[in-house]
Amino acid sequence: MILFFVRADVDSDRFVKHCYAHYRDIMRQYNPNLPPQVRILREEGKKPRLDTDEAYFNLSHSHGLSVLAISHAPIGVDVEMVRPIDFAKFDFISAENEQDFFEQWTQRESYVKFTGEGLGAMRKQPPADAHFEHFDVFDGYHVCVCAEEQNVTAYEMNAEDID
Amino acid sequence: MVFEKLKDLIVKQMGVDRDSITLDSDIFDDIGADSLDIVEMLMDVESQWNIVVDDSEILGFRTVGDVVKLVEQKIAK
Repeated sequence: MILFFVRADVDSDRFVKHCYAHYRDIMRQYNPNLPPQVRILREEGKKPRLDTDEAYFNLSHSHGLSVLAISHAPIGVDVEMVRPIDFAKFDFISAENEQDFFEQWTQRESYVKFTGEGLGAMRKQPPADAHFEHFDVFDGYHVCVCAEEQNVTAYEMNAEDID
Repeated sequence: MVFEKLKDLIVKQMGVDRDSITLDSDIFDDIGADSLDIVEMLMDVESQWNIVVDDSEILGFRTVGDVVKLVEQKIAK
């Protein structure tokens, strides 16, 4: 899996296509079937996906940071800017402190992004066999990825290259 | 007026310019809300109007107008 970060709000489709090209450059040696071009398919009630089974993506934004995850298998990603929050009012999450809250929140959110269920499913606990990776990035953001166990690499992209 | 009160909630949560909020404003792309903002605002909406918003009802929410419509439907009951 590759995580692409950009410290800006960029057009989603351009971001995905731009980063997919990088993903393909890097991963072609392992998967020669990666198509040279991809389209993003958006169907009612389903999460957006590429028009190929060779790669999957998921996107998340929070207050100035955008994260795109691309992998050979389905994934869900959530990024949240860590900020002061009255986490006690979220009765469906029992957190000991702010850091714990953001870890649990991003975990649940990355799971509903993985399944494509959407925000409505946040009240449910993810299943015990779901696999997550947590990262603290860029001083003040927490990221969680839900996917089958795999290597993760990360790159920071320039907004000017994308838009 | 639901839209006016909703604008108050959005400004309080997001700090955006009140005049920039329209019924067509996309909650994610225009208002800049992330998932945590959305859920916090929904909880504020629930307590502001004393309604319950079911998890399934927020599927497909994109604009401020979508939220106004839902609240108006619920308080009409």
